[in-house]
Parts: sequence; structure tokens; C-alpha cells
Amino acid sequence: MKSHEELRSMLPAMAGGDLSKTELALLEQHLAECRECRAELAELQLVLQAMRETPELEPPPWLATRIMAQVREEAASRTGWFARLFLPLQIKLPLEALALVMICATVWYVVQDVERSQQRPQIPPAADAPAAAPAREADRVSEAETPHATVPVTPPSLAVAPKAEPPSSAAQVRPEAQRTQAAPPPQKVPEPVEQMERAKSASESVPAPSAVSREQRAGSPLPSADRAMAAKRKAESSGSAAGVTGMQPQRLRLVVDDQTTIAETLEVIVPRLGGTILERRTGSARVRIPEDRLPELVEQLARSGRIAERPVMDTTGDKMLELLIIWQVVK
Amino acid sequence: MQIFGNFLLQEMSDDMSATNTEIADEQQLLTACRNGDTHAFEQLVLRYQRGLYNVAFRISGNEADAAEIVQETFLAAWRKIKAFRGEARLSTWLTSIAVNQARTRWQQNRQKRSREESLDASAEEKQGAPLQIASEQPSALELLERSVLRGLLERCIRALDQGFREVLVLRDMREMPYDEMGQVLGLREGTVKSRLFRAREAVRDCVTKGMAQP
Repeated sequence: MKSHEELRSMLPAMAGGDLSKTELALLEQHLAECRECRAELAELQLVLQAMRETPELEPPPWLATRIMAQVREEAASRTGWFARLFLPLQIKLPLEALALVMICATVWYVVQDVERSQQRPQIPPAADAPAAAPAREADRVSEAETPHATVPVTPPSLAVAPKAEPPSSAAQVRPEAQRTQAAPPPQKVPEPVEQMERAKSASESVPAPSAVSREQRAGSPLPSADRAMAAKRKAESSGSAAGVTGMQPQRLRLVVDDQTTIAETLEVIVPRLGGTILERRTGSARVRIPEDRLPELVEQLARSGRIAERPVMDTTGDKMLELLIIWQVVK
Repeated sequence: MQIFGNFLLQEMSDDMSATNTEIADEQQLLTACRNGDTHAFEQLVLRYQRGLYNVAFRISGNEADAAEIVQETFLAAWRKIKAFRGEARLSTWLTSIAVNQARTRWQQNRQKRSREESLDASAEEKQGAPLQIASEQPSALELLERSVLRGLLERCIRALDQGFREVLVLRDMREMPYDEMGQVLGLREGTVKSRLFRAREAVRDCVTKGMAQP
């Protein structure tokens, strides 16, 4: 037999129709006797009825639109890499094909260019690097002072001096240039060699417009390209003569008719003069030879072709010097 | 009599085929949603947003929160739709997400909310009070106007603890079966029932008490 409190606690379940038949019968028996429980049950039923009759609210009309906007945004960000790369096909595919063709063309061009550059004879980078000009300026000054400099060079000019040259260096160069101009005119470069040099200098070095105008003001008789080339060559040769011997080999440039002949000639001459061939490449060779045998070597090579650039010859010492011999074939 | 019986069978069979069509249609929509079809998902949103909005409103107690809850619910459903294997009904699954969203929001707003007297506390206070002697006359509650009663009821439901409010809304306002309630709330059926009966009693107490106040 359940107590009043126990039976009373079953009223909320009864109000919602959640009791089993047995429990219902038991509680109905109690309700017939208990006025208090009957009243409480009536209240509960009223409350429940009111809750169930509560009208449903309509969601705001913008809710579905807002939800779908967010869902679509999310769906777009979730799109796979394939769709992002290739869809829509009619737009993206032609563009991507075009891009691919352009990339292939660029790669082909670069490969061809690299092959061409590998076929050319290698020239030491320091010789051509225009950035080395300020360093060479000092060398050029000292070379101009050297009495035994017999290299056929045109008078030094300020035309090739770099624009960013420090003021102290420029101050040093000017008196030297005047002094050199005052000295007796140097030996003139043979005509064919000079023509070739001119052609080369036109392609390799073009002086800055400001430098050209300065040159013209100075009343220099030579064309600016020639003077620039001459100054460059001089700077290179002075670089090897002024204390950097061993670091920078001297250079001898030849114009030959047959490439194999000159190679064979070198094989014979160099050992005979007491030297060694250090390195041989297509179009160039690096040799080591006693300083006093250099004129003899130059003379013998002159028989095989025209000498376009001569090394600085110092026959007083008996040291070994390194010489870079570069030959170009004229067809 | 025979004709009436045939008519009844026909009606039942029509209802069942309509339900089957609805389920098949829902399955198709779900499959489309799993493949990323947002139009299919929109159909589901339009179908279920009303019910979810009402549940969310009754639990959260205000329209702005209810709209936010429904929005978050559908967004979460879209994210997890591939994981939904159809073991429960879609409405049950969506309601459970909505209830969880409402719980999270309720916890976030807990500090901001004004303190309302817990109905549990009032129930405890009432334990020592003498029982009202009911007469056979209609009670004050019975005489109360419907609109006034509804307003009072909403206040009382809002004042319930979150756990009680959830069961009351799902059962007495949405008429959800107990087994589904268990799935939605993550509770056993017995716990759901005991919580529900206590909630009903608490609401009745609150309404009676509210009527006594001027």
C-alpha cells in the first residue's frame, strides 16, 4: 500500500497520460478519496493543456535565406582542389593550356641559350666584369707609371672611369693620365687587329653617355669604343702585372685559320720552351712558362695566326708565369 | 459497416504510403546533401526550421537566441551530414544538435542572465509549507484567463533549470516520444521521465505562486 506522498508524486505522470494501467487504477482509487490530490491533478492537467496549446511560432522569413547563404559559403570553401583548379573547364582549361605552352617555350629557350653559352670559349670572369672597374683603376695608374709596359695601348682616358668612382681615386688618375699623355706615343696596334678589337669592343663594352661626353670635351682623337676597349685591356694586363701575378694569368689572344693546328703547335712549342700546358679547352689553353721565354713563345705563335692581344712581357725575371692563350677561328 | 471499414483501410494505406514517400524523399535529399547539393539541403532547412525554431525558442526563451541556435544547428548539420548514418530520425538528430547548441549558448549567457528564482529552490521552500486545502469549486487557476495563464506559463518555463526545461519542451510542447528524448538528451528513459514529472510539478507550483502575487 502506497502512502499519500508516494501517490501524490505520481500525479504529474497521470496528468500527461504516462502511467501504466495498474498504477492508474491505484491512483484513481486514491483520488476518489483525496480531494487535495484531485485539485492538484486538475491544476496539472490545466497547465499541461495550456502548454500543449501554446501556438507555434513562425521562424523569421530571413532565417532560411541566412542559413543557406552560410551553407553555400561553407560549401564553396570546401570545394576540392580539382574543381578549384579546372572548373569551369571551358574557361580554365584553355588558359591553363596557354600557360603551359608559354612555360615550355621559355624552358626550351633557356636550355638552348645555356647550350650556346657552353659552346663559347670560357673567359675568366674578372676580365669581363665591369664591376671590377674601380679596383682596376688603381692598377691602371700603377701600370701607367711602369716604364717597361710595352703593350700597345692607346693613351689612358677618363672615359672608362666608372661613374661611382671614389673622389680620391679620381684625383689619383688625373695626374697620371696627364703624365702618360706627355710621354712619347706608344706603339700603334696593327690595323687588322685594331679592326677586330673595334668590332669586339662594340659588342662588349659601351661607355656611359656621360663618359662619352666627357671624352669628347677632352678632345680625344680615337673613337670612344676603341678607347674603352684599350683601357679595358690595359686594366686587365696591369691587373696581372701589378703584384697579382699567379692569381691572374696573363692573356694572349690569337686569330687563327685552323683550330687543330694551333693546338698541335702549342703541344710542341710549350714543352720545348721549358713550359707546361696546365689546361686545354676548346678555343683556349692555360700554360706555365718561364718569364724570359715568353717573347719567344709569342713570336712562334704569331706564325700560326694574328696576335690580337699580347701579354705584358717582363723578361728580366726567371720566374714561371701563367699565360692564358685564347684563339678564335676566322672562317 | 463494410464500406466504412474499407474506407478506413484505404485512409490508413494512404497515410502509410504518404509517410513512405516522405521517408524515401528524405533519403534522396540526404544522399544529395552528402554529395554537396546545397539545393537539397535547402529543402531540409525549409522542412525542419519551424520545429527547431520553436524548440530553440522555448528552451532559450528569446527569439534572437532561437534564430542563432537554428542557424548554428543547420550549419553544424551541413558539416556533419556525411557522418549521419540514418540510425535515428533526421528530426531527432537535428533536435539533438539544437539542444546542444542551446546548452552551449545558455552556458555562455549564464553570467549575463539576470538571476531568477530557481523553481527547485521554491519547491524546497514549499516542502515545509502547509498544503492548500482544495475545494470542489473551480480553482483560481481554472478561472484564470487563457492569455494570462499563457504569459505566466512562459515565465515559469523560462525560470526552470535548463535540464527540466529541455524535457518539458520536448515532451509537453513538441510531444516527442521518450526513446527519442533519450537519444536527443543523452539520458536514459527513466531519468527523462523522473525529470519530466518534477518539471511539471515545478511549473504548476510556479503558476500557482505567480497567481498569488499581485
